[in-house]
Amino acid sequence: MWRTELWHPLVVHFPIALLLVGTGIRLLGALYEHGSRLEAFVPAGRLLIGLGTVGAWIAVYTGTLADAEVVRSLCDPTVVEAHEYWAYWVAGLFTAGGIVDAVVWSGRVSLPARRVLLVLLAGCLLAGSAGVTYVGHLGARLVYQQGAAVHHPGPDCAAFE
Amino acid sequence: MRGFSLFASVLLVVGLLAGCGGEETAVVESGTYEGTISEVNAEEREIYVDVPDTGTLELYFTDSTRVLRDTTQASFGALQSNQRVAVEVEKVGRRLDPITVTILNDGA
Repeated sequence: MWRTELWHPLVVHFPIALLLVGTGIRLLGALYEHGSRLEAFVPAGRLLIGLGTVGAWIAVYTGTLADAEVVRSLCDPTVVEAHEYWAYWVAGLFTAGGIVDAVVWSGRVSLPARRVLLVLLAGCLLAGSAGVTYVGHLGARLVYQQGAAVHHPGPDCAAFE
Repeated sequence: MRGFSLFASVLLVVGLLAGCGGEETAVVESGTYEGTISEVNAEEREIYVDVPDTGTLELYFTDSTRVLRDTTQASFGALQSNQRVAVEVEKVGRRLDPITVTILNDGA
């Protein structure tokens, strides 16, 4: 039987992968974008980060649904709070990075301003990636240390007979 | 100037979005605490109570949590922000299970 809290693990691994890989590709593209074979990394990175950011907000939403279902069964709900808090930071940082990159993409900025924006973009993406890692760590603590959203079969395994 | 405006906008966006993530809450020993309700989440049957010198308690109601007003039973719907309440909690692990929430006054 489907449970509401299972939407979150179904969704959350896509933004983790997309944002981490997208950050690496976008930053490589920024270093070598002009006339290089890596030029295509720029739009590729943008696409991955765009999809990952949408996924991150969906993960935040499904995480809120899961929170309401599982928090009463946890021994340490403060981990959920930290998980939620840093997830908002991650989604916010990648959203901000997307805004900055959109301005860079528009081409309506001077070269010095563009350099500043690329540094800002790198800051958002690297901080966001560190955040993704930490939020993932907190999510793993919830599942593997506290059994959040994990179904425990009875000791006689009768449900599997 | 445009760069500075964008930088400030980005900081604002990040700050606003991250600010949605809630607040740090306190874990206390079992007992009774008096404070003020700072937030009521009816959908999740959850309240936040600011306790002076202690911090904010996040309390998820259980099936056995009772709400009292003048020693008589009240419903969860009677709880509102800014009410003074006394909460009796049981610490289970690092989770706080509310046993009773007594409304002391209806606040401002």
